Amino acid sequence: MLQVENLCFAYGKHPVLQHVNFSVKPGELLAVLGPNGAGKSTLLKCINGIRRPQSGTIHMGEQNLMQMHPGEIARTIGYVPQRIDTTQLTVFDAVLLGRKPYLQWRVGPHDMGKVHAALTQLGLESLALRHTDELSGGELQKVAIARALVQEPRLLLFDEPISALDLQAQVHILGFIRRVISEHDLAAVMTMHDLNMALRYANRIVFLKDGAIRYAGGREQISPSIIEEVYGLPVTIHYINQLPVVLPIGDPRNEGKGETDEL
Amino acid sequence: MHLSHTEIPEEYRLYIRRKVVFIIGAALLLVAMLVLSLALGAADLSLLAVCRSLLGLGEDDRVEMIVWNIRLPQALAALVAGAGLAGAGTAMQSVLRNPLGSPFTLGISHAAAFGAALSIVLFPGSRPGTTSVSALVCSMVVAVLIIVITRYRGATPETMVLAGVALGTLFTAGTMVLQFFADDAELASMVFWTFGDTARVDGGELAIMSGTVAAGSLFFLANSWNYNAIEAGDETAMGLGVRTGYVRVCGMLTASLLTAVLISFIGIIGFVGLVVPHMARRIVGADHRFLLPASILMGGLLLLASDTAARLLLAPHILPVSVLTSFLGAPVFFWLIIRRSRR
Repeated sequence: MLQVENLCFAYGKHPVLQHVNFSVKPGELLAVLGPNGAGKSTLLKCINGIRRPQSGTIHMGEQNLMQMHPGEIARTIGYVPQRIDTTQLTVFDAVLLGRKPYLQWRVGPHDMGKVHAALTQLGLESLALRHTDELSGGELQKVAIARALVQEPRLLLFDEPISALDLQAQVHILGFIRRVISEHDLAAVMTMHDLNMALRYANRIVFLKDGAIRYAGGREQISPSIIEEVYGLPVTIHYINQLPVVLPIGDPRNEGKGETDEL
Repeated sequence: MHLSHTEIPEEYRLYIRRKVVFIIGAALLLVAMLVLSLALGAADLSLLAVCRSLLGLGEDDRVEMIVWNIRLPQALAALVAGAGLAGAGTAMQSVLRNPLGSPFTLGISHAAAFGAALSIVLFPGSRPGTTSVSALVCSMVVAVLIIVITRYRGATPETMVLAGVALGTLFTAGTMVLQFFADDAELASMVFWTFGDTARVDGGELAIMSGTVAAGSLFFLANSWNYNAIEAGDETAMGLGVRTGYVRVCGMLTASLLTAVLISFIGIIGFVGLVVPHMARRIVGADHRFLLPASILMGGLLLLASDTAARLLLAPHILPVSVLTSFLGAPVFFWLIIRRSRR
């Protein structure tokens, strides 16, 4: 399981993460929410070693991630970044890249078999020979997820995987992620903006503001006051089929009026 | 997690096989072009005589002399230089994630021209080797400066390209100053040096060029997976355990050293390092396991063919091969730009 303790990170003198503590168990999806610039993406980058924290510890089971070689981390953690670049690599080759931490130069049938299995799981077989710059946003997201899966990790990190997707693609991707992590007993951390999707799919939720955790826990304990404190916006919480749905209070026609009057 | 094994799709096997066939075909074509280039020239030799001579079965001293002493060193110089320039161009374009990465865009050629001009002014009448060494030193200065600047500002592609453009401009201005104060003979030497010419290479220089190109190519090939990962974006690459800054600096340094050695011995040869990687990419795709060998072979083939054509077109006059590669390269590049903007 992932255990983050007392994590601090700063860009120069500007603190981004301050004494962050949380843990994620196998089979669990943790959603990290918070306003833009709260430090969500930086948190993921610290966990997988792209950024080096100033202090604190990150453990995966008994292993100290901060002392591991980048290749070793890549065999433990699958990372789906927010920005996925399109290339002239085929879908098959783009997913095959996920085997990079295990490869020298030669690709064995074993590696290709795993790529094919991941493509099949995500319904991408028919696109295997298409270039990734010919894909839609949802398909590209699936390619990045398939790549993370063939790394055969124990922990998955997703940086806003649904921000650019339509509703159907959002539901499809989040449903798939939930199924994969419970089937394979993986731990997962996902940053996101959509509160209601987080409440629907995540086992637990962390609210981050100005680099510090403001709330960590299950969906049941979340109150309008916590959300208002994090986002500075009054909300109500309704329950539909026992699932909480967060709605901003007020008349949409009057929202943002002060700013638009000045334009 | 463990994904269960399934069989590899047949269409992917075919797709890979097509690339391998293309690379083998290009290698065979290169050998054929080499033999053809040895046969063609002012003194016409038959293909059979050339083949016999290459296999050590030659009996005619005149043929032996022409093949081994005159045409083979020049042909090999063209082949090795083309292969090296294309390989280095491919690596530069990949690590910089910029289709304009080449010895020209990064100021390496300009620095070599400045180095050559400087040695012509400072050491008049010295051996050609001095000019080569001076060109090599100046182009390496550029490579090291680019690396030093990126150490301070972070090894991003933008920093590297901008630093290269600035240094290129600086060295061009330096060359112009030298040319302005040079006498007629020096000016002629300076201009002549910038015409890339494969005939000026001697045996020792050819050995240095071949060794450098072989070592550089092996280094690039060993990094194929790293370049593929960088192709998919820096964050993805880092998530796959690739130290992108380190790979970028090492790739740039190797590519710069390789082109600096080639340019200092044969002068400036345009467009091979820029156009061939694009052509290879169109044919075999962006997977560097195939792109690099294809690019290296196509570079060798293109420069060898251009060099042969340059000897024949206006015979008995010999055109500078760099003129021909630029005449061929520019239209190809325009075509690539138009195709890209249409998409």
